[in-house]
Amino acid sequence: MTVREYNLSVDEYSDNIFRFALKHLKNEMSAKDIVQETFTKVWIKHEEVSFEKVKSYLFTTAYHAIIDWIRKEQKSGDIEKTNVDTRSSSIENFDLQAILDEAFKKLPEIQKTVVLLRDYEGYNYTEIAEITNLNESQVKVYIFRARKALQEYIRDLDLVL
Amino acid sequence: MEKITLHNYEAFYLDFLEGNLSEEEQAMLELFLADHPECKVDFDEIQILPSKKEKQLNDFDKQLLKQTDFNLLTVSNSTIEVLLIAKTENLLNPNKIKEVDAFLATNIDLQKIERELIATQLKADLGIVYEDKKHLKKERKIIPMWSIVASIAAILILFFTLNFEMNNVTKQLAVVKPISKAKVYKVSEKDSVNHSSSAQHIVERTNTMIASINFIDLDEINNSKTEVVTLDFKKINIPNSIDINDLEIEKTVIRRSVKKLTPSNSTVTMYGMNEMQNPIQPITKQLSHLTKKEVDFKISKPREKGKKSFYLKIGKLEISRKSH
Repeated sequence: MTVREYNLSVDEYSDNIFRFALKHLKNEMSAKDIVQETFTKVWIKHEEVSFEKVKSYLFTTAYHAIIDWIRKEQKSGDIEKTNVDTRSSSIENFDLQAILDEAFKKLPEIQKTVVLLRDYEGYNYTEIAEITNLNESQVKVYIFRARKALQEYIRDLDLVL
Repeated sequence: MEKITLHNYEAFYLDFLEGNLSEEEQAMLELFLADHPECKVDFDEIQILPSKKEKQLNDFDKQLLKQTDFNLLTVSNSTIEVLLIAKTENLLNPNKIKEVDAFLATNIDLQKIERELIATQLKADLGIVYEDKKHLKKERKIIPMWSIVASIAAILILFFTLNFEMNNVTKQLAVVKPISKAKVYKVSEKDSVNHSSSAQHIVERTNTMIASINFIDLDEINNSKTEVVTLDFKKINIPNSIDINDLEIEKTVIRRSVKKLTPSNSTVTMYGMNEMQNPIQPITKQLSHLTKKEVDFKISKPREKGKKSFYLKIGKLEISRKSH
């Protein structure tokens, strides 16, 4: 990948990586750090990474950076507990995206990752498996469980859809 | 809503086991049990049993664990949830979608679940952007055209400079002045004009070297007092019995040299090799031995302060120079 292609990848994918990280971490500064770290790592390897594969490489790098960040935060105890019930506040105003955000927070990290890659980036199961270093069956199971969990969250609110 | 009493609480138990209690009814049951702890023992024991809800989850997980193509699954109550998600994920073929839709047609609850599943698809907020892109970017190493042109020009200048220096060396070789009359071969203006470009004059004979001059451009002599000559050097052994005028001198070794002469009394000469000496003979011998080529280096004794000439030979390459 040339310098020009690298800079192009910044234009093309930095927003996606930022949203991906922000959705996981719920912290803008941390999400920016993840973006910075991700592109720094990709720059170091830019001569070995082809432009065609750079998006996948970026998400793989970002995913690992996010996992590392979460592990560190969990050790230090700074991360928000994901099982805190915030349902009551979100259903005051019927905003499906806000409700889904709340439901999404309750998912295990790996399920968040696969759903985000699927819904935000439109990756297929094979691509998600490559990024997350899982096999396709695992990706399928995680996505199905996440869908079911999100659906049950919505159902329990008894929303009229 | 029916009040829970000691007479009907078992019915509420059964509904609880089947997962049919609403949250409110379940809360009422828990309140009742708090008021009637004698019934709670049974309740705790019952809680160990799997509920209907948990049973459904197990079915769901089992279906996921199977390595079966979703399109091969039979549509039933135990497979419908998985199939609905598979439909949402666009993993079903048109025929299977028709089967699933037919199964849903009469079931309002399943239709609702399908709508809820569709709603679970997350949409990225495109308004969230990473604003600091410019700090992520790297400077490209652009080589401007002027730089390329300048580089080429510099190379050319260097080439011509070196070439010029080499010509100067050649010129130095050609600029020969009379040192002593005994060793001067005079070239009169008349002789020069009459000579053709191939004419040769042996100007000096030494034990090992003969120098000759080829006159190339004689017109210059009259107009600008410049004579273009070519010096031929050939190291040969000449017996004393042979007249050097009978020898054929090999063609040019050093080409095109320029020399300013006055036409009337132009004189050309070369230092005699017998006036030169090798101050580094052991080194040249060693070099000759190592390179398997003849190596020789000689310098002349300066006739005046600061004036010196040298002769260098490495294999077929021969260079001599006179400083003045």
